[in-house]
Order: sequence, then C-alpha cells, then structure tokens
Amino acid sequence: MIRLLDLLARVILAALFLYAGIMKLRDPAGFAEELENYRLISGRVATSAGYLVPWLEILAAAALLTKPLRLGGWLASVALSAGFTAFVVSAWMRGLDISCGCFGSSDSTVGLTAAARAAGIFIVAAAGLRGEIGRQANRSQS
Amino acid sequence: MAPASRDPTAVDRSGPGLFRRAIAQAGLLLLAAVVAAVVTAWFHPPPPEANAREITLAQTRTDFVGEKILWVDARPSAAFSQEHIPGAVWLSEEAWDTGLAGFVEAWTPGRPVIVYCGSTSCGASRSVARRLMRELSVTGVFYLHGGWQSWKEEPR
Repeated sequence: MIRLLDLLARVILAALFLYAGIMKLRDPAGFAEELENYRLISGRVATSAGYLVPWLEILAAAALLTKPLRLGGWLASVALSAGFTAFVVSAWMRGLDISCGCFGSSDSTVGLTAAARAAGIFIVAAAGLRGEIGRQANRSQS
Repeated sequence: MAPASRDPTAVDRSGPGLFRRAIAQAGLLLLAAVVAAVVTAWFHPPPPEANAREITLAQTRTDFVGEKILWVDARPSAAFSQEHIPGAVWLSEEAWDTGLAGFVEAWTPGRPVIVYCGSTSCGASRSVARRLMRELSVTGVFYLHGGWQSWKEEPR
C-alpha cells in the first residue's frame, strides 16, 4: 500500500513539475516578469530565475522517476515547493493582485487556491522525502 | 582480536547519511539546471531590458501638457465595462489578442501610453506595459501608480 502511494505521489508530482517546467520554459521572460511582480526579487534575479527554475522543475521531475537520483529528486521537490509556497503566501498576505506564474505566465491569480496548492505539493514532497529516506535506511538494515 | 575496521567504500545508509546523499544529488540537479539554463539563455537570450516607468497621476498632468495620452486599461473585462478612464482602450494579458486590435487602432507613434490596473497591489499594468514595449516596440509606455483606484480617488 505504502509502495503504491509512493509511486502515485512520485508520478503525480513528476507530471506536475514537468508540465510547469515546460510551460515556463516556453516563455522564460514572461515567467521572469511574473516573478518580479511578487516584489521580492530584483529584475536581474528574476531574469536568471526565469531560465533556472523551469529546468530545475524538469530535472526534479526526471529524478523522481529515476531510481538512483530519487532522493535528490524528492529534496529538489521540497525546495522548489517551499519556495513557491513562500512566494505565493507572501503575495497573498500582502494583498497583491498578481498572476501566480505557477504554470507559466498569465495563469490564475495568487490567493487561497494557489497557496493551498503550493502548500499541498510541499507537504507531499516532504512526506515523500521522509518516506524515501526511511525505506532506504530500512533496506540496508534488513 | 583487532576491532573490525569500517569499509571506507561502504555507502552510509543511516538517516543522516542518506540525507547528505539527497543534498549531494539535489546539488547535482542544480548544477545540471544551471548548465541547461545558461545554454537556453545563450540560444534564446532575454529580450532587451524593457522597463516601463511608473508614473503618478500628478505627473501625468505636468509631463504631458498638450499631448493626448492613450490610456490602456489592463483590468478584467467586467471592470472595464463597468467604468474606465474616458477614452481608454482595454488590453489585458488574459485576452491579449482580442484587445490588441483596439490598441493598434488607437495608438499612433509618439503618443504617450499609460497602462493602469486596479490598484497599487496589482501587477497587470506593469506586465502589459512591458509586453507592449517588448512585443510591439512601443516607446513611451508608463504604468500608473495606484491604478484605477488613484484615478477614482483624485478630487475633480
């Protein structure tokens, strides 16, 4: 049962990250603008992140589906989703009426839905990382 | 009897050891992402910095004396239909292609363009202003500080 849940979580998370990464990579400049609208980072940092974040998402997705890099894939997913959650919640708390940028430019605006989605992904990723470490540690003991 | 020495080639499978391994793997992924990002930026460089400037309503009164400002409303269509700055054209990111025709019809080269959205908290005016500069090479594009809210609150 646990194995099935793990497989399901990995496949869903990988599909989400892959889709989000590809959508952002289609228009890195647009995604950079969405990031800048959060008013947390400078334009130069946003431009760099516009290229880097989509690739990180794509590689994290690939790593989640690859046995030797699974641990790294889970940790990258945790880091990415923690960052997204912090950005979205911060914008929501400040009452910013901006596009989320979660799946490329011009998608849903930040708010409860986007914050809950980002937090949900973070929880799944954190649980996945913990489970994977536990499984690998148990395997070595048995 | 000599104590059993630890095999230096053995993989550390303790919890902290596995976590360190996860960090190393994530670092590898980050490195690969940096390389891929640099290659992508090399082949598809970011557009030249198209920074639209922010402008206050008071500045619009002093900076464009005798010029006819083209107001661009970047709010949702329903808000535009309800009320907007007189003469404004509607152009939002959500329906870019639909609104673009109206903008192109109203715009003439050299005419100052000021984009506004709902209030200080929205980012749509900045995005639309940048997009106009980047995609249509329109110059003299500004976005209004405080947006529609500042227009409504200004005593007339």
